[in-house]
Amino acid sequence: MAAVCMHVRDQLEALVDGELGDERAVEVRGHLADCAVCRAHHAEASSLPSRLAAMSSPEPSPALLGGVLRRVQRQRVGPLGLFGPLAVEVVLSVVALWYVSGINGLSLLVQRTAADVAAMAGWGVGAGDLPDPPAGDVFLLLVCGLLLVTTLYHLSLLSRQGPRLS
Amino acid sequence: MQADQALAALRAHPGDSSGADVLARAARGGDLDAFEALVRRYQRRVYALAYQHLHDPDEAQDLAQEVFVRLFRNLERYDPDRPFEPWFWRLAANVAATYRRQRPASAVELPDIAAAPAGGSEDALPLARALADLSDDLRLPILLHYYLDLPLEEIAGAMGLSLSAVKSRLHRARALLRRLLVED
Repeated sequence: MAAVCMHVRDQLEALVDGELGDERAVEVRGHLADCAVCRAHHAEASSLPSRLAAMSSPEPSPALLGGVLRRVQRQRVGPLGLFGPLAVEVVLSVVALWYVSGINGLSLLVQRTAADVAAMAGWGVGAGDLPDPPAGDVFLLLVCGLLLVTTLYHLSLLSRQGPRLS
Repeated sequence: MQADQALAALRAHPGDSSGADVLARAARGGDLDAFEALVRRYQRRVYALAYQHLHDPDEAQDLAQEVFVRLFRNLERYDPDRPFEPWFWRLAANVAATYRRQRPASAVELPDIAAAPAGGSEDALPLARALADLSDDLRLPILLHYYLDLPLEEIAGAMGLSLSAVKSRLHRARALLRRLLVED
């Protein structure tokens, strides 16, 4: 392909859209008068927008609307499903608070937690025996873990609600 | 109440995008009737976009559903002080691009061109094939502008591009289509 043809073809879309300067448009049209292949490209470029607009698509199936509404409805959670986890969270929080209230002061709680963590770490690196924390601490850990899982699940439910439905 | 107003607005101005704004605001407030009216209003255009993007009626149906489900999930993010359509087409374009990226490679390479609807012109198949050969970032602006007749400014907003970038993509896409069609 001649360099002039390549250059002209690069500008055909701009010519069709009327975005070429007058002088350049005259030059391009002059070349088109002499070059049948570039003329074929120009004809294609000229008809393309209307052909794209006229492309036909089948009609959507009537099931489309029903499918969308079914999927949307599935995402709705009833009041019980939405607020049920709140009751579990409250119970778990009360249990955890009741246990923590039995410990004399926040600093003691932090000290015991730190001691348990340090003992576990020591056991993990082989620097000590497997710690034997009080059963109550294990129970508290379990309650806090359950509370975390329930809260994450609850948050995921709330985030999937989207707009409030009447 | 909101739904009644929205539906009345829609009936009064069926082609008016402000009707869509009213519906979107009502749907955002939790009105399922308004959401249904929005789906009815846009389902043909969304399905047509999906069909021309994928060339598979079943997948197009699936993609169109996905667009509306994502619309529902994201309605709270819609700013009711702004026009609904650019925001909606932005979401639709994103879902369409993501959907195609997640398809198996074989499905992307073998679009169901034979399923082109009857009644299309004789050169519809080469054009559909050429369109399928374009990358998503060139095909979507073409479909949004020439097929769905969205203004360039809306496409720029929908695709997060500048106006000049949209024009440049349209020129590049048309040049590629033209070459594919002439050489076909």
